[in-house]
Amino acid sequence: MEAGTLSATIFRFDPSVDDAPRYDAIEVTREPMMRVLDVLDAAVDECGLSIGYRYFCGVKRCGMCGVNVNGKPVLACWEAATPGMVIEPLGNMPVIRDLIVDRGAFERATIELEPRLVRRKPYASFPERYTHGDVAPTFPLMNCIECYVCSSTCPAVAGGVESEGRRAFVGPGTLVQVAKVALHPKDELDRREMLEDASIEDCMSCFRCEQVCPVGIPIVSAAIMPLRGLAASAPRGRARFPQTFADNVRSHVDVHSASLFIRAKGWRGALASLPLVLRMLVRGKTRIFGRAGTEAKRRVDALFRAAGS
Amino acid sequence: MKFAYYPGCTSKGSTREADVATKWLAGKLGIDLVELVDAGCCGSCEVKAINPTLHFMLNARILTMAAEQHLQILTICDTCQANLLHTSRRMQEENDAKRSLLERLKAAGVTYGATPRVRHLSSVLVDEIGVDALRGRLLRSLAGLRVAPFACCHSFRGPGATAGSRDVLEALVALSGATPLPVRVDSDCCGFHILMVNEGLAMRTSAKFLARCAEAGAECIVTTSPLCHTALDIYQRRTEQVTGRTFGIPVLHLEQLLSLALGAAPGEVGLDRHMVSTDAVVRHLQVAA
Repeated sequence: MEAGTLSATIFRFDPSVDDAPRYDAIEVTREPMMRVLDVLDAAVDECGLSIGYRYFCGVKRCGMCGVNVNGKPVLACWEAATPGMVIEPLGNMPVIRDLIVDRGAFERATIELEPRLVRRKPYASFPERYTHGDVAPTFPLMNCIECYVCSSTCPAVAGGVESEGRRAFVGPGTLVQVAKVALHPKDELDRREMLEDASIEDCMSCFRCEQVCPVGIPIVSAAIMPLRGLAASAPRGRARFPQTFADNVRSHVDVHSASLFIRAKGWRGALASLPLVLRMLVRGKTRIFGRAGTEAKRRVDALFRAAGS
Repeated sequence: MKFAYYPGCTSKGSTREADVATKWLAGKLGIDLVELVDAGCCGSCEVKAINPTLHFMLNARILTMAAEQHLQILTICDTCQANLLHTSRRMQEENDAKRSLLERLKAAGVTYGATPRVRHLSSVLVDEIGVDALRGRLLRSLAGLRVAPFACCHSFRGPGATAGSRDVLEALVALSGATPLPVRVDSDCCGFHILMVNEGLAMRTSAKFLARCAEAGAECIVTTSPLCHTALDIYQRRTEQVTGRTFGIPVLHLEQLLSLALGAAPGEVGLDRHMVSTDAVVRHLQVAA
């Protein structure tokens, strides 16, 4: 690298003409405080490359400039450029051209899940009164800039497949939009079945979305967990697992995996896993009887009662 | 060195070898473990979805059981560690949320006092005993063994994360003489928490990591989480069935790997209890230089 220059490698692919992606190595004039976005601009202006990339605001508001830099999903407008960086499109989305990805699947899912307050009763007053407590659950979510950087690296999205009318996991970015209204005190729509249709139970609680969120939203804790709590009581029972788990802890103190397995999968599902269960039994990897004593059960049950469960 | 030992549900159930290996290792290193009997589940990732207050209360009760004995808590499960650590952070705040928790705990018969320090065994080994002191006690080496360390997501991200936990795991793998390989990427997950909900998705997810292990020539995976161990070892054959690939990669608990290096016989630390054969690891055992 020459003094005063910065090198980078950029993913290039136009599905309408290219058989396979390629990588262009570039070297641009190094400027102080250079961002990834500045390097892309310089690649066009100085190197004459017709790279496809997308942004509108350049100041972390529009959420349009998401890219992977050295495998890490970031906003190009907010990430410092580093020598030798590799810039690639976000994952979990089809490439339209070069660094531009098709966010359509996530955006359509968001729209289908009605991310708007549904009000049926007349307003009590105008302006309406809100307390801090009223808005506390949705407050951290309002910073979302809908960049879908979180969904681009979610393992449940990556491995999701649609099957037998069951939708693949819609992703954390979409669920944040739903949580903004579902956790709002004025929302009057029963969203539980909708959340089942979003396959919310597929969230692996890996916190990857929280790790990468450019605006620091605690996505799992503040959006997905409360939505899973709502969905657990949905009539079809598809997202019931957290309640089944909690019931298991209440009955057994320690998780009793054999009964949890049967409750979660049903007898038919459990029987289908019989070879696995038998191998586990042979290796002493499952307990038939729980370990906890009566006194421990009483104490844990008291916690459930005091917590209002 | 004495700790209140909280093994967690899985180490007392489907990965009992983790508990066995921990006790062997603690005995060898002079760590006195006072097991918290009937402490119950930490709530994993499910109870907090249903009732976050209950989640904190379950963990606060466990913290109280250690505090009553004036002991720090020692965990061997990254998820238990994260939940207890998150709760201990919450209980050190002074706000209405904490006061409300204290009242509810009192109503349930739990008098919450001091907040004990919560520590994963791996960090105790590094911070209290030290890598150099441990190295001086090694009887055997696993030199030549190519290991893919797999730290649980909950150890390094989320509200109960511990800074540097992945470095600690890697340093302890290297201590055994094995060669840690940078196989795990940040978007990896073992899929444990959806095993009972969407097994196919869990298998496809863990298969990505297992496939990368195979491509990197990893002969073994080492983890600090019994939950990840469950997904990667117990379900590995199911993963092979779902994805049509063959892996056969043994998965060791960190406590087992270190115990082997400190002279444990494979049977003493439960290597015979694994679903994927650990013979390839045992073959690497040699006298330390």
